[in-house]
Amino acid sequence: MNKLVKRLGSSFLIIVIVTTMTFFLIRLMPGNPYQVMYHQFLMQGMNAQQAQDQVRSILNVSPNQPVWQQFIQWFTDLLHGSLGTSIQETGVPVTELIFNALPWTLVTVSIGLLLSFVIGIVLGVISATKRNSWLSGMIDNIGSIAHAVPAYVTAVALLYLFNVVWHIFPSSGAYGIMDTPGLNWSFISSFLYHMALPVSTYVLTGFGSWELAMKSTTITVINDDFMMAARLRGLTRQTQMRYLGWNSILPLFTGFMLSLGGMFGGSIFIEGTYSFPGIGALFATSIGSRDYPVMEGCFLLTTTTIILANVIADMFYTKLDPRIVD
Amino acid sequence: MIEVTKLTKQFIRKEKYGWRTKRSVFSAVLDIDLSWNQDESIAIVGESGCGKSTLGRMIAGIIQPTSGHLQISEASEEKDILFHRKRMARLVQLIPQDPYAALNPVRTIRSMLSDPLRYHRMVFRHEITDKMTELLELVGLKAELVLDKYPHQLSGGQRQRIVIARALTLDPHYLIADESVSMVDVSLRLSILDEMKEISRNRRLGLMFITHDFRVARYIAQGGWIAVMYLGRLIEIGPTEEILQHPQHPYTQALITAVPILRGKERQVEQVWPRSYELQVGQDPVGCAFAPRCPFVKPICELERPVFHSLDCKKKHQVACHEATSRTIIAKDFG
Repeated sequence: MNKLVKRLGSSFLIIVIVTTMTFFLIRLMPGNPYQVMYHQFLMQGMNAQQAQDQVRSILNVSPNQPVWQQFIQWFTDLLHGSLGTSIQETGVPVTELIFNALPWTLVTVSIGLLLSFVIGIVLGVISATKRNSWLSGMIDNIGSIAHAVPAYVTAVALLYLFNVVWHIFPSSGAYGIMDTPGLNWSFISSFLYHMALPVSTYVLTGFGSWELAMKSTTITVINDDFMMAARLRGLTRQTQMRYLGWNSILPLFTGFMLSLGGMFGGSIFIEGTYSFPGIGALFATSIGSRDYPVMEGCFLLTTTTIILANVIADMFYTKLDPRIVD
Repeated sequence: MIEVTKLTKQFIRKEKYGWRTKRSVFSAVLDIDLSWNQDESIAIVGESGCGKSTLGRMIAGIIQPTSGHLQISEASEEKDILFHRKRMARLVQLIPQDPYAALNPVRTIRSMLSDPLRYHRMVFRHEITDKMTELLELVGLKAELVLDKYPHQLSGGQRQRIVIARALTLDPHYLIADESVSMVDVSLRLSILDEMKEISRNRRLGLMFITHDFRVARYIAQGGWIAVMYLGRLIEIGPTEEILQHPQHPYTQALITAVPILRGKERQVEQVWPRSYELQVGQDPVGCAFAPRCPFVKPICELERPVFHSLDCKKKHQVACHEATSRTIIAKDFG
């Protein structure tokens, strides 16, 4: 318990450091939106003081304020639970934007990740047990090719094939325009229909690395003497597979938790292609329009999930693998 | 009785030269004839790479021989392969070499030992703990100290004992020990060897001990047999005392010469040292496989393969060598 508190404390510190750094880093990008708005007002004929007041009344930030003062203001707001308001969608709280986008990404990425993990594990075991056959080589090659193609290329290819050529799946959105989100069948089926392409993209780009990792761990375990001993004692095939599977999945667990934490980062390239209203799309548009508060909110979310996933992986790993003592 | 006739295991090696793969056949075990009774112990001696582990695994039935026949008199012929495996498991068990790799790292000793007991319905469910305690006591471990531990929490010697106990869960008739003490501390070897000897005597267990060390072979196979292997072939077999007193094959003599002796005990007359220490694996020569290393090599050795023949009238001690002769080489009193 004491250890958990310590871990959470240090994680909090890391989150603070990372968000501070991103706060300053994103302001190094060319194109300051405060300045842009300020100059627009100047061009409309206002004098400097008027323009500054105008910007402050709209965005709640003085355009000529030093960055460190902006940071102190932003950080005190953050400690009070506020992430500020969006610049692009003027006046809308960042938390509201994030919470509207979060469920879509959470559901699709979790399903995609789980599917790719399961498919990768199964194919990896098959490839390892049939190591010297053509099947194994085929699985490995497909896995590494699918893994090597960048996610946005896969996304565009799928969109072209299944939407433009074959008209099977919709090109954009998370649900049909006639549906209202809620627990009704028409909405759920529409949601599943719309998420087919994004989820397939996650699966296609993800399963290859799991397959290759699982294959290599399975091969090590399969040659271990205890697997021979299990065969020697005439145990059933199911028991043997249980011994084999558990020992080879263990090393992959940390990787799985980490990619679960990094899910929002991975969705940036995919959700944009499908105009899927999730965190990734929000992130991409906020970067494009230099919407500082939204960018900071997204960075905070991404950092926090990655670090928390790391902590959870560490905590669980000692429970799963008896060899690791905490 | 286990009877092995013309047992052969060949592996196909693939070597890649650019796009082309060249296949070559490598024989790990070649034409081995051997028979061995349930109340006897036999030691298989040979240097690493001579195929002694492959032989052990074939007899235990976990790898299939390329050709040849394995007959276990207690076993009936089963058509169904899974059922056959289950039946074989209760006849022959093998103790793997490395006690660190032989135990599943994520399972406790309790689940490790109880899985086969439950699956083979050896005892009633409520007797499982008693049975496990008995087995662990047999190998000199206290059940309450080890049952709920994981392998990594045990020492090397304890692991080796657990591996032995696990092999005994199914009350096998034969036990094959593959270099079972080579990974254990020297200080623990003797006690583990003693236990294995005692267990095999008390349970009428046919013990096959695979080793590279003549001292271990002599100790474990007292009153039994020693068989010497070289490059997949059996080159000499006979009663333990006979082999040690009158080894006939130059290779056996070389192996015995290689055993260091304590100061004060004199080794007699000529010592046999091989001409080279390199083991040539891969090619299968026309003549005697040991000829390139043999110090007594004659022209015939490279032209004709020696066959097994017996030098004494009882036909117990057999050797495959053209130049087989007793060369007294071991220390006078080795007791």
